[in-house]
Amino acid sequence: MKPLVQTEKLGKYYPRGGGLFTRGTFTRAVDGVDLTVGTGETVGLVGESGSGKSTLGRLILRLVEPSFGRVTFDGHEITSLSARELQPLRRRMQIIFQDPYSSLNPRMTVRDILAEPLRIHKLTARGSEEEGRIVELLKRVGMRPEILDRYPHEFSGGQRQRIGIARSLAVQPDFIVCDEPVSALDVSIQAQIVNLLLDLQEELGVAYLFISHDLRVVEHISHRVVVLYAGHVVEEASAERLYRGAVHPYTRTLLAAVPGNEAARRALPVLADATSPARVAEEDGCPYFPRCPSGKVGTCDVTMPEMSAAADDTTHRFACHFPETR
Amino acid sequence: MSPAKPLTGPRGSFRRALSILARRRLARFGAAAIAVLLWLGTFADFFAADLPIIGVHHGETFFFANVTEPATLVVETEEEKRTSYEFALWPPVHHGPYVETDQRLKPPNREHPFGTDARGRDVFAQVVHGARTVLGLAFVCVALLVVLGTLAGALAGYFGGLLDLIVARLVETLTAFPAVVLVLAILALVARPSVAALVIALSLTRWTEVTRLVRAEVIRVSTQDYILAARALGASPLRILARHVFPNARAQAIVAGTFALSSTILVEASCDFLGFGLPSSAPTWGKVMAGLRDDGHAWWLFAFPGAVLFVTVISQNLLGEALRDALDPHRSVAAGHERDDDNAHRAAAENSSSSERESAIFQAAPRV
Repeated sequence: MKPLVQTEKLGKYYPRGGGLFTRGTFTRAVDGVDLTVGTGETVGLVGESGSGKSTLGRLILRLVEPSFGRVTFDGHEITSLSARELQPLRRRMQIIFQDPYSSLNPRMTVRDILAEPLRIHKLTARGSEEEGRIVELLKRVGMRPEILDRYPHEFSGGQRQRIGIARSLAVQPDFIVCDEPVSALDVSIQAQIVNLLLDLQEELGVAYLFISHDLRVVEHISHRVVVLYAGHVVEEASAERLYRGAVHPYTRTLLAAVPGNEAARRALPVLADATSPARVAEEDGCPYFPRCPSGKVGTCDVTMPEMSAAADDTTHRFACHFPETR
Repeated sequence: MSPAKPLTGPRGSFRRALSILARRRLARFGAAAIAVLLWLGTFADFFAADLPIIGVHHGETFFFANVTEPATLVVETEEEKRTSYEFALWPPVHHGPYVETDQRLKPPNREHPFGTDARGRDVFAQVVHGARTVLGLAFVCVALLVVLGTLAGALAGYFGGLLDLIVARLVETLTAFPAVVLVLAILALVARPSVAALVIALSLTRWTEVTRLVRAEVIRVSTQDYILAARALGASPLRILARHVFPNARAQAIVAGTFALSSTILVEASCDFLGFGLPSSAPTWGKVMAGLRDDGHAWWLFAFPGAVLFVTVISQNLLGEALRDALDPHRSVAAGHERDDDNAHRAAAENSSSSERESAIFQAAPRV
């Protein structure tokens, strides 16, 4: 599969603390992530709150400026582009948000919301051509054109999410970052939105980076899954392989936490202590060491584990000194 | 209450706010009082003037002489005024605000319903004509300060950084001074007092409140996902400010502007009372009240302009407060009524977790 989006050692550090004369530390939101999304592929990005999932998604779209590293989109290195140079690429990558209430401007009608992307990129002439395109977009996300002159507050969460999806489709993107698009919705509506995303991929061949903390949804939609912990990729594999035989202790803990996975939970040697803090930035060693049930003093707390591939499948990669056996 | 008309427009929008306002008694009172004052000020010549509205003088008919003030009709004495017309339709009070008579410091009587000041000028005429001066001045000041304050607040809030630091500190510094002192200080900077200088001084004291509110709102709005979505779509900063940030912060500017109107009027009256206000002969309420400093017993110099000033300020504050509540999308204002329509609709849409219901909404266009 042709790589569409690639990140190399991508990172974002936020300065923390520090006064006029004292030096603060950094919060390492994303810390040297290598990630690839192929054309038409869905990559699931999972991890707990604060693991840097959303920041990573925004770094790729350059909605947040990276501290270091590179992002390549379809062969174009985009981290060094000016806003003007980036403009034509903006058309090709989009984002869908978690909160359907803050993602639509309450002062704009559905018509205005959907017309904006068309006007920014001058995709259609104003008037009937624009109108036709907007109606087509609405139909594509399963909504009727009668709602064009309504305001966002007149819709339910699921309906608003559909409008948000229509907005991102307006520019006909090749890649969409889905930032927890169903987390704020009712379960029944979640399924509808997930199915809508799957249908759109089938029709349009769009690639997704699907960010979520709900592993079941990710399993359903993703071709590959990447597990993020404290800004580091700790394991990645095809969805099928990851859900059957994860080797990183963090991934196994995550999977065991999915309701209904009693068998996986019993298989864990010790349940990780989720209350212990993540590693402080300056310390060396594995970021998961303080919580890890199988971490060993002398190794895990001193050296950062390198990414290595599984013997039987080179696409299954993980960063752990003592991986569990499959 | 009669069955309420449905609210229109998105929550927190100006259109919706107006329909909420229309239901609130105090807001209606405030709006009505301001309307009456504006009407009095605009048509002041029809309430108090030295010349008749229609007058026949030596066989020649003059229409609206009270407004046009033709030179041939201007006379020296009260006696002449009464006798020089074959026919005359007078305004209720036969005196303008400028002409001095020998009726000095007269308490209210039939000729002068609000009495006269130390130079024999009619107080009623000065109050009515003063409304024009005072409101006109205040509206000019507020227009200026709302534009200035919104611009400063929006830019500081959206771009942040050094600009924000400078604006925020400037606002804090200016807020620390009492307005009257600040106006005095700014007026001291200009060589000769002028109306323009007063307008600028008044505007500079009150833009801070607009900036403060708009800045806070812009900072709040800027964190919303729709701003991020617009950036992802490649919208320019100017477009984002104009299409997304400003329309959502406009409510704050309107509310702050309404409050600024009353405080500007109050500060201007204080300056007039203290004797360094409007440097022209135009009558103002503050100037009439200043007469009290020399003639303490002349209560009518204070009571009538004071009452009008009080009603003006109270009405504008009532309207401002109601507007603030009505424009706040987070506050449930018109008590039960607001919940009736769109909240119920939304709750119904949200709660119906069955996919059947949801698809029903998509298939059959919902009639709300």
